[in-house]
Amino acid sequence: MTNPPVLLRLDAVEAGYGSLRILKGISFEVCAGEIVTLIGSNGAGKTTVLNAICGVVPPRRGTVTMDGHDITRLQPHEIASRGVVHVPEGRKLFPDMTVAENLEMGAHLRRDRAGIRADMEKMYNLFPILGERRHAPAGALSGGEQQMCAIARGLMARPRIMMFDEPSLGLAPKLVEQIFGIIRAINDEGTTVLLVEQNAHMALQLAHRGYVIATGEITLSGSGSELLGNEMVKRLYLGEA
Amino acid sequence: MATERGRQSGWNTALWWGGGFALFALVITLNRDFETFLRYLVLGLPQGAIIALIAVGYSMVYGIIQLINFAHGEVFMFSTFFVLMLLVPPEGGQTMAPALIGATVFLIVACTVWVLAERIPARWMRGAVAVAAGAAAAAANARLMPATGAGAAILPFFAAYALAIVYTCCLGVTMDLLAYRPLRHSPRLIALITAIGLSLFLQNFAQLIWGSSSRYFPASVRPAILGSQQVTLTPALSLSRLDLVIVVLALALMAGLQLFVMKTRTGRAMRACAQDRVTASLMGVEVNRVVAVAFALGAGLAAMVAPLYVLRGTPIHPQMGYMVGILAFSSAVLGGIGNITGAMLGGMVIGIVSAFVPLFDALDRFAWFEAAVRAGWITREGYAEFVQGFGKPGQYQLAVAYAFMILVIVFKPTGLLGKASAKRA
Repeated sequence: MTNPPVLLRLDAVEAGYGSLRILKGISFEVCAGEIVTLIGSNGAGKTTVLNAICGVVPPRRGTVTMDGHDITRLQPHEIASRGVVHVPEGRKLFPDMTVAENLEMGAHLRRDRAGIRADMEKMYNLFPILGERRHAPAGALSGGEQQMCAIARGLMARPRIMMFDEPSLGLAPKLVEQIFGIIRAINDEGTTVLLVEQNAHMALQLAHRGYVIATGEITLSGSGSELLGNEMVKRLYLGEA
Repeated sequence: MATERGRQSGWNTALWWGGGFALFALVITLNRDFETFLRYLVLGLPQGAIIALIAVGYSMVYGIIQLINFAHGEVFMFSTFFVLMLLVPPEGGQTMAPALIGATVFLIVACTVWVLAERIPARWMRGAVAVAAGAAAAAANARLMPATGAGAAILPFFAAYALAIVYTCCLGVTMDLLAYRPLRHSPRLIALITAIGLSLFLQNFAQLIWGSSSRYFPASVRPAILGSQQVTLTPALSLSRLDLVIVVLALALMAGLQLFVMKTRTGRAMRACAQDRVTASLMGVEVNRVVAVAFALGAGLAAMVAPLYVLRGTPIHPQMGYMVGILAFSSAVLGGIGNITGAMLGGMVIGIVSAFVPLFDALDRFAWFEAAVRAGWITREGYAEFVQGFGKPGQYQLAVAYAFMILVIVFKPTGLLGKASAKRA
């Protein structure tokens, strides 16, 4: 069996804020076309992993490589230009801009006007509610609509790898299911996905592979179904006895 | 829902302000006549337009990096000196001037080219290009300046004006690169103190180069279109050509700026940075570049009106930026700091309010003054004594402008168009 090429690789990455060391040597890889999930409890460092990848919290040690190129020391905008797109926790839309403008911001690095316009129409088809509210300020959307807008904004960049940080946070169960369906659809179209989730059950069901992260270290890894069946994972993250 | 309410309150605000102004117009009309009201309003327009365009520079930078760039007034001051140095030879005592000017032009052009040349990957090559461009600019500038002594101006007025705008934009970019960019992640207070320090430095540096005496553009370089001939609007209402140009130019610039901010890719990136810098960088926006654009644009707008401001009769001297700067900054606060439209509005309001103050010099010619005297509430002698003690009301132009600003801020702390910052969360 030939494995698909590794797209994103973290090698002994250490990162933190000030004197706070949060990641204590994280190594993992995401292959092209995969859905990989990072699960772990609050404060384990999941968000910091994503922030270290996209350059918002520059790693202190270790390397991040994208497609074989070292991106560890690059600025966030340079990393974004390599097709790494981050859908941050709490959506982080531009609240005073309209939905359409938020999508245009997602396509900031693209110069093909016609392609951008076509992709926007695609987003409005994929998320009809965004089409209806395209001229409304993003700050006026509901939580679920905001999450959809954040995902659509990410897609507008035509990412090679899309990183989701807690996309289910604060959403009703029905909406969570819808969001997860969208993530699967995005992956089916060929985009690699790195998913950080508290909702370990759903994330592991969706993902091809998963890593368990605790106090800044990877403690366990395996395929989604392996981890779902793992006793420790069941006890600690799935809330099963 | 929140927006609906927001829109509602926006209309209410506009209604209140419109109503208040109409009432003021009515009071003036009843006391004097409508033409007097219009005359003072027309006086206020160019004044307000100038303040508004300077205020934009404060607000735009604040919106993105939450820094009050106290040196913005000095940028305004420098732009007038740039025009002056291209038109008038240095005075006898200023033997240092050509060297210092050369160094300044070198530095600002080199820094700007360094910022622009980010495509060049190797630092040494980028540096070399920047140094070469700076040296070329300094050499070219030395040729363009009139010679010490009684040299004649080489550039016509408008060419000097245009070049000064370019220099001033470079100065804005340089300020950001050397003084503020290294402090981007330090506490805001540090950057604020740096801004005050930079402001003092630029004042003193200008004084070192050009001396502390007040200067004017010589009448010989003044183009006819910027003259003081009156343009008649109605038989009783006229304004100078210069003021007409200022108002028209300012309106065009304001409209252009709005279009830029709302419609262009860079303008959109600017708004995105103002709302959330980190997320904007995740979209691929190079925040430092956007900040540099904001500094360049703010400086450029100030430089566009600065020579016109001087032609209205204010002398050029190293401290001239201070007063104008504080007034423009207050306007930006009045309009809601961080909001570009607000800064324009605030500047117009402050300009118009202060223009009306001298009208009250002639308070004893007001109809209601007569009525009050007849009613025995005041006496002419009493009023004369008051004027002798406190001076004519017209002297209090700035005081009234600031008092007005404070009054607005007391009732609406976020300014005319500002939003409560808690809403950002």
